[in-house]
Parts: sequence; C-alpha cells; structure tokens
Amino acid sequence: VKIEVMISYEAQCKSDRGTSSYKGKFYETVELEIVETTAAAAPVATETCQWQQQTRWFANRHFLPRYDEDRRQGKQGLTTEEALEIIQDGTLYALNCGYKCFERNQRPSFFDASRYLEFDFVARDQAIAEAKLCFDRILLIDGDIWVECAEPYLIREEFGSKVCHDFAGGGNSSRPNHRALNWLFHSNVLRADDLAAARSIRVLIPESIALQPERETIIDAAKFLLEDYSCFYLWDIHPQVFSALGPVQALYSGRDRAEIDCEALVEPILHLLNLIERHEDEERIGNPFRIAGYRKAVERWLDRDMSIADILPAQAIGNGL
Amino acid sequence: MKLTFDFAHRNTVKTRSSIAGRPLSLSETVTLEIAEATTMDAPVAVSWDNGSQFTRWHDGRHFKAVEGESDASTLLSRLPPHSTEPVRGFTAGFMLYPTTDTLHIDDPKIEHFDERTRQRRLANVREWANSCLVVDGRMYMACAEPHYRVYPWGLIVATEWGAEDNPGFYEHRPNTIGKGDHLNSGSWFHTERFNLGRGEEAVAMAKLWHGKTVINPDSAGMVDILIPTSIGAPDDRPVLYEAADQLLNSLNHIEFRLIPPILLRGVQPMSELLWGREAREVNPDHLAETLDTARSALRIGDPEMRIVREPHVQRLDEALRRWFDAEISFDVSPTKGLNP
Repeated sequence: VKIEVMISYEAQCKSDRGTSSYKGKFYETVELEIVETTAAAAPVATETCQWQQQTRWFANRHFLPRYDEDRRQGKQGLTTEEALEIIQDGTLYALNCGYKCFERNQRPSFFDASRYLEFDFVARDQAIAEAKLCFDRILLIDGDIWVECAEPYLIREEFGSKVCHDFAGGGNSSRPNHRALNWLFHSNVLRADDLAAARSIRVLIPESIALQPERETIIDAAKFLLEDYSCFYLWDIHPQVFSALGPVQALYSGRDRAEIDCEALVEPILHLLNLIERHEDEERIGNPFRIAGYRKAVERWLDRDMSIADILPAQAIGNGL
Repeated sequence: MKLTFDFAHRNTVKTRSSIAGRPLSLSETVTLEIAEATTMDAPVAVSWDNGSQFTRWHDGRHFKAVEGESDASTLLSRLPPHSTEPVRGFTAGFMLYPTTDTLHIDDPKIEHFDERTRQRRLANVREWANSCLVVDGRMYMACAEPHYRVYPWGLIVATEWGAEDNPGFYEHRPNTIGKGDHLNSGSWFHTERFNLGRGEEAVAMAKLWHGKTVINPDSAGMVDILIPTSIGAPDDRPVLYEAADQLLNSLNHIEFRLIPPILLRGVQPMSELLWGREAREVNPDHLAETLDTARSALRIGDPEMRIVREPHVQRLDEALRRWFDAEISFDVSPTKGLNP
C-alpha cells in the first residue's frame, strides 16, 4: 500500500533573497510503499515457548507483530486504514521512533527547490533514505502491522536466560526491535537452534536461523578494543601497543561486519592483548577482567563447531556432498 | 617610583573555626618599584599604523602603552584600596584585589595556609611591577617584539605573547593571547606569525591561506623601525611541537576505528617519539622527520581533509616549510670570544 508521510530535515542552503548561507529546517511529503502480504505467504518461523511470541518469515527476514493493547486483549482496535492514517503525519506504536527524519523541527519551511541558489541535497537524500528504511521494515500481514526483527536468540544472563529479537547495534537503539550493543554483547548470545535454547525457542523454519555468535563475538572484541583507545590521547599510547593496534584496526575499519576476516583477526588480537597486559597502566583498559573477557571472546571463535566445508577448499567438495 | 599597597590572592586556608583548609582570599602589603624613564631613555623603537601604534625600547624590552585609559596617575589611583576589581589590561591576570571578605595574612584566626601558592602569587605581582614602565606620565606594559600576524582578514602587526593556557576574560594579562582551539579567531599559533622583515612570506601566506591580496608591508613602509637593533630576536618559535600537538589532537576527535589505516601507520612513529616525553625534550630533527611522514600519510589517507581540517593542514605545512627552509648558517665562529 502506498503511503504519503511527512519528513523533516536540516540542510545548509542559500536563499535567492539573502546573501549568506544558513542552516534551514525543511519539511516535505514523500510517497513510500508498505509491502502487503498474507499469512500463507509469510509462515511462522519461530515461536517462543513462554510468551507465544511468533516471528514470521518473509523475504528472508523475520517479523514481529506490533499491536495496540486492545487487539492484544481481543477487543476491537484500530483498523488498518485508521492506523495508516495516524502514521501519515504522526507516530503510532513507536513505529518511527529513532528515525531522525520523523522528528519534528521547530517552524520548518516547505522545501521548494526553485527558491534556493545552493542546497545541500545530501542532507535531503539522507532523510529520504532514512524514511524509506523505516517503512521498508514494516510489513502488513492480512492488515496487521508487523515490524522487522532480528532472528531470535538466547541471552545468557546472571540469573537465567531470555529470548531476544532485537538487532544489536544496528543504528539508533531506540528504533523498534533495536537495542544498544553492550560491551562484548555477543559473548553471551546463543543461537536459536542451540540445544540450550530448545526449551525457550521453537524453530519451525530451520533455514531462517543463520546467526554465528562465535563470529560476532570476536568482531565485538575487535570493536571494543578499538573503542577503548578512541577516547585516548595518541601521545599516551605505549609505542608497542600502538604498533599492535595497527593490524587490528586495518582488519576492522571500513568494513561491514559480514566481510571481516575473523580468522586473520585472531593473531593480532592475541598479540595486542599480551602487550596491553604488559604495558598498559591505564586502569580502565588494563583491567585484568576486561582482558580476560577479550581472551574468552577469541577462544569462543577458536572453539567453534566447524563443518568440513569450512576447512576444505571449495573445489575439494564435490557436488554430491 | 615606589608603590605600597595590599594585594590579595586565593589560597587554601585553615582557620580556627574551620575543620579543614578551604579556599579563601588572603591579603598582604607589598612595596614595589616601578620603572620610570624619560623619552630619551625609552625611545620609540617601532611604529606602525602611521605612527598611531608604537613600542618603546627600554632595558632590552619592548613596551607598549596600556590600551584605553593610559594615564599613569589615573591607573595607579585604581590600585587597592581604592578599587576592588583588578583593571583589565593593567593588573588583571597578575593579582587580585582585597574585598570585604578578605583576611589579612597576619590575622590571628589563620592557622595554616599554603606557602608555595603564596610565593607563586608574590612572584606574579613582582612580574607585574617589572613589566610596568612610566614614560612622560603614560603607563606602558612590556610586550613581545612586534611581528606580522596573518589572519583571515589580512595582515596586522601584533605584539602579543602566547599564553600557556586559555585564561578567562578577567584573568587576561595585557599583551598576551590565549591558546584556544578556534580555527579562525583570536587564538595563538606560531605559524601565522612572521618576524618583521619577512613580509613577503606573510603576504604569500595571506594569499594562500585566506585568499587575501595584501601589499607587502616591508616595501610599502607600513612599519617604521627606528631602532634596528631592537628587532631580530632569534626565531625559535616552537612551531613543530604545536603542529604535532594539534595533529594528534584532531585525530583524537574521531573514533579510532574511523582513522584510515594508512594514516594510523603514518602517525605511529611520531606518537612513538613523543610517548612519555615532554615536547621540548624531543630532538626537533627527529620530530620534523616523523611529522613529514605523518603529512605524506595524511595526503593519501585523508585527501578531502575531513579528519584533519584544512587550517590544521595548512599550519602543519607551514611548520614543516619553516623547519626545512630555514637558512643554515655556515658561520662556525663562536658568538662569544674566548677569554684572553
């Protein structure tokens, strides 16, 4: 279904009437599309045993429902048309929370390209792309609103474990089905089809489970090691630690999480940890518990279950295997 | 001229009634000597702006008239106890004045105060007296040797020293400029300052950095040097240290993972050289080499000048230019002759 929503943004511009450029606030409406489907096309992929929370599987993505309280209690809630009408120029079920383009600016002016000699179109394109991203994550299944979520996973905590559907660290953490990436978050994460998770999560579509927590954990280790030195004056880094940080940074920076070479990360991280342990006198970084956490993260990657396909070169595996 | 007055300073004071030391202001009486000179003893050394601005040369130093009200008797009549606030541009930054809640240092209520702080403040007051000069009824304060300063609107003659830190408005000493991180406005940075006589370099920089076409002040006779020996202090400005400092500072503003790897590798030798050392202890030749390495890495790793901004790159360029283009003297004779 097509929907017209109002977005607003700030952009540097120069009006045809003034002499200097300034940062203006603008609004405009953009037409976006929400994908519609039926329950048959989007089958249930997983469900949690305790709360009966279902995720549905559509276009290789998981979706969670977003109802209002009335619907949840079985009463008559908002109809689809009413819900969409509210979303058009407002917010409903926190669907567009955390997306900056839907925040309301004070006294924005309507964007009209002919009125500006210079305009920062990059800022405008970013706002439109963000709005597209927001509505791309919404799915209408038989008229109900569902929002994209991460595949379910189990978080082990001190006094038990719980199922979570949130993307960790995927942009703003106040977006629906998002959460902040805590320190070494993935080291406590278990896959949905893990034996330990069998009591909490029921997997109905096995191929929808693709998370590699071991891999995410070692990437977390690299990320947080670099973050430790981010608020650091570069003169104060010990020269040997500095030179060991270089390889880790080179493997991590400017890459997606999916394309980082984890096998290559192992040696540089262990080398860096040894040098930090020996030379770092900053208590925040040289804390032995912290270093032990990083070591464990690397070990988790080294101890992972591997299939023969990971070890053998691709040509060695015949078609029949 | 002998002056006797009470000055105040902040100190950690333990009084009879307080449990521990607390910040209080203490006053004490000082007697100071202020230099006086005739116009013959303190002749005009350098004048500019058609003679409206000038420095006087006395006792091997340049002195400049106090800005605004410069009548000596008026200024001295605003010393304590006739006023409670230091005069900006005259006594501010050197001392505080006693107010109603100031204790005298001999007060029997006082049990203990920090003597080292007191000595430091006393030294400041003596420094103030040492930098004052009265000529012909006008008050002059010591200033830096006049030099050209290139700034976004062109070129001026400046007489400030760089302050070590960034003092507040009411602690601002005359003829100093704070060390801020502002790119365009009133901050101290050595690379934009040139000795008198190096006008063409200053003109070239105004053209290159700010796109301003200015006439060469040397050839235009903008500056009148009446005492040539007063000009030409050795140009040992710490440009390299400042450039290294601000380069690492600007890298510090972004996350570590966002630094391009090549830039990180380029900065590493410099960081290694400076680690655990005061900037002044470092061999400037080594520092220049590592800075040059860092600059080449910067050109490749950050060509759009997003991480290290254009003014910073310009300062780095200028610092290295000055270092590598410095005239090398082949005069090996010692400056002081041997004892006969």
